[in-house]
Amino acid sequence: MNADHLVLEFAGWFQCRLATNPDPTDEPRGVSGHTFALPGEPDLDRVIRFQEPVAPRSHGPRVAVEVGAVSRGGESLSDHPLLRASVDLLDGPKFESRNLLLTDDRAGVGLIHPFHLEVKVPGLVVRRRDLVDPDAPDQELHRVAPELLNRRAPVDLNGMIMDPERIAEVTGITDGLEFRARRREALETDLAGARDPVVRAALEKRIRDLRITHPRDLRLISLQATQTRRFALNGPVEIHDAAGRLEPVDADRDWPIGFWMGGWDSDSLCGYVKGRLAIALSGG
Amino acid sequence: MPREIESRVDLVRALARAAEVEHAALCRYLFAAASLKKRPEEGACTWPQIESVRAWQSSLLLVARQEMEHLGLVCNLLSAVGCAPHFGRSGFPMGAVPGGPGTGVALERFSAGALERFVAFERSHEPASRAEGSVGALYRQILTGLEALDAAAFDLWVGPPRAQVSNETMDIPAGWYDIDVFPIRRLADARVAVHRILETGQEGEPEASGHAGRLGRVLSDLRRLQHEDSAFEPSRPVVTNPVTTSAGLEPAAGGALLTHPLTVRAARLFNGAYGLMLLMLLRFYTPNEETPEERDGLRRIAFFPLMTLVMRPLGEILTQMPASSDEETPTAGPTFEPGVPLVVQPYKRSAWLLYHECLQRLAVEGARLEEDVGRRDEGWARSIAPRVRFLRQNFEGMAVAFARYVDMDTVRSMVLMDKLLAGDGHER
Repeated sequence: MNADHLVLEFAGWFQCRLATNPDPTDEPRGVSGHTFALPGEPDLDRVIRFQEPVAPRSHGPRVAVEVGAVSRGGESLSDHPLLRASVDLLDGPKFESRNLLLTDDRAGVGLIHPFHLEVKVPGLVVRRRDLVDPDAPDQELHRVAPELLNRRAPVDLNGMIMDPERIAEVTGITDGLEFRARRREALETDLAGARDPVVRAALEKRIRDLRITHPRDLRLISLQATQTRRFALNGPVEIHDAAGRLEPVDADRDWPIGFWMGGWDSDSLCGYVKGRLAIALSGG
Repeated sequence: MPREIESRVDLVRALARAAEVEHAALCRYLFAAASLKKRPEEGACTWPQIESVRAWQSSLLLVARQEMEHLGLVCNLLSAVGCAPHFGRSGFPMGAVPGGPGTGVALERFSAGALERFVAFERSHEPASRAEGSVGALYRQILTGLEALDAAAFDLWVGPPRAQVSNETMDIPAGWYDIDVFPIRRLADARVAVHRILETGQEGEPEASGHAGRLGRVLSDLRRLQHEDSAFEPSRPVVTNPVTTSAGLEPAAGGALLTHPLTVRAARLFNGAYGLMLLMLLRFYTPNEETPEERDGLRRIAFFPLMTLVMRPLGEILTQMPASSDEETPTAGPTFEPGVPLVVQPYKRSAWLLYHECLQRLAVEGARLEEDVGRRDEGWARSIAPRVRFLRQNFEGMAVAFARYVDMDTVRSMVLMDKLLAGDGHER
């Protein structure tokens, strides 16, 4: 990437409380798939959260996506104001596939919609939307042409890519069975001391699920699988920078973004995201 | 039913009966599953009890999926001997079916009594069950007939190989969703299919994985929880055998006529989707001139979207809607009245137009229902409104997607749909 782009590398765990096949997309509690709303938790809402998880589960990862590195023209900027900025997706984004009605992604995950990215530190906020159909930005998704939807779908439409090395590098999870076994042991310890019947019911459900060890079960497969997305943010830009700390950005050019999501932990309803955003700068 | 199967006609008659048995079974299990509560706010259940209810619903849906598998295998058998699949069945309540009680096989809410009847039906698959009229006896008769006709050098296996459905043609990986549908082309395949149907039905021991064992465990768990808490009620107050006055059908004796106008419309929406799904499955089983892309398009609508995005959620929505105009309980349920003649459409282009028109009409009806549910103040209406809205979006999406799959003009599809919606007073 050349000097007319500010490159932000971001990573972290996200949460998504969603139902999975063969449950309906809008199944509120989870029944037949491998994800569930536990006793005492609110309904599944499908929202992808990069910050502020809802009903975070014990022993799960810390949900927070942030900027880990900033560079320009290949040169690292170790004191850039956006280093360690929180990265968030606004407006309640969801994975939208609807049993392959919307995209051709055979894994059935689909596109993330809406896509409204925010990068924020105190006193400095950068936001940009991506518009699926710039000519009809408020159009309901099922009426948008498939080629426009597929632009935001995973780059490999044939399904998830097994990439255990990549997952291990960022999460430390090298053995899915062992990872789940350790989680189960921690929950069994918690169960031994739990008295509240609702808490006990939730722990018992998690423990039962963590006992599933079939190698072809999606709980294990998706722990080491990834999907990559690449497109360019094309919508309106919003900058709040009272102190003028950010370089002048070019809101007329698209901002390329690429990221992978994977390492799906069905027990905590969390996955990992890692990628980079290239903010076009004005004046070169 | 003849004592012996001596001809292809005898065989087809027996296979059609078997198809009706499997079809009725899956409807009963789906209905019972849809009647189950999801949250303590629905009353008479706690969070720990709801966790058990979720497990029971999962078991019922698994068994229902496997009955769909059985129906698929029976239709493969019909195809293998050169005949069309059979998706017809009597309305509910049905008369005597193999393995069922003497009369009145019903669509009924989840309860200990219903589970006892389900277990009895599944036990009738057992080899030891030699009672005339048992499911086991029916399939033994079919297998004996297949073996006899095959041994008689009878030109039995004449169906085209492509008129078979399998996990592969449905794009379901092996072992996923607990179903295994495979092609049937010769006697050896038929033996495996019949054995699979009987094997998953029987095994009534508590530890067994067959349907009788699984449903028996649900029954034991239910009795235990009700013994611990006599106030516990896991299912919604759903009427038995709900019916609408649908085209071509009269309310069956013993049926509960739905009278709440919104509920009747929702039930007819369900039936419209159900009937269309069966028509599409008929076409999927009898490929004619369609291209691989068109056949894939049928699959992409009939299997997951219609089943998972429409029928299951709409079935659950119905169990929250009042059955009558006079009071909010009892509530309704899916009536499984197809409302259309279940025959193969022989001409491809006409079939595509028919299915597309059906999807558009469902979208229009879905939009009307969304608007009218949105106007209601009652708790049940507020509770179902988000799912009804999602349904409408998905009906529209299916209509547009199907047009694309079969190479119709998608822009024209949307224009026509918008005209229908505008004619109904809905702006899009």
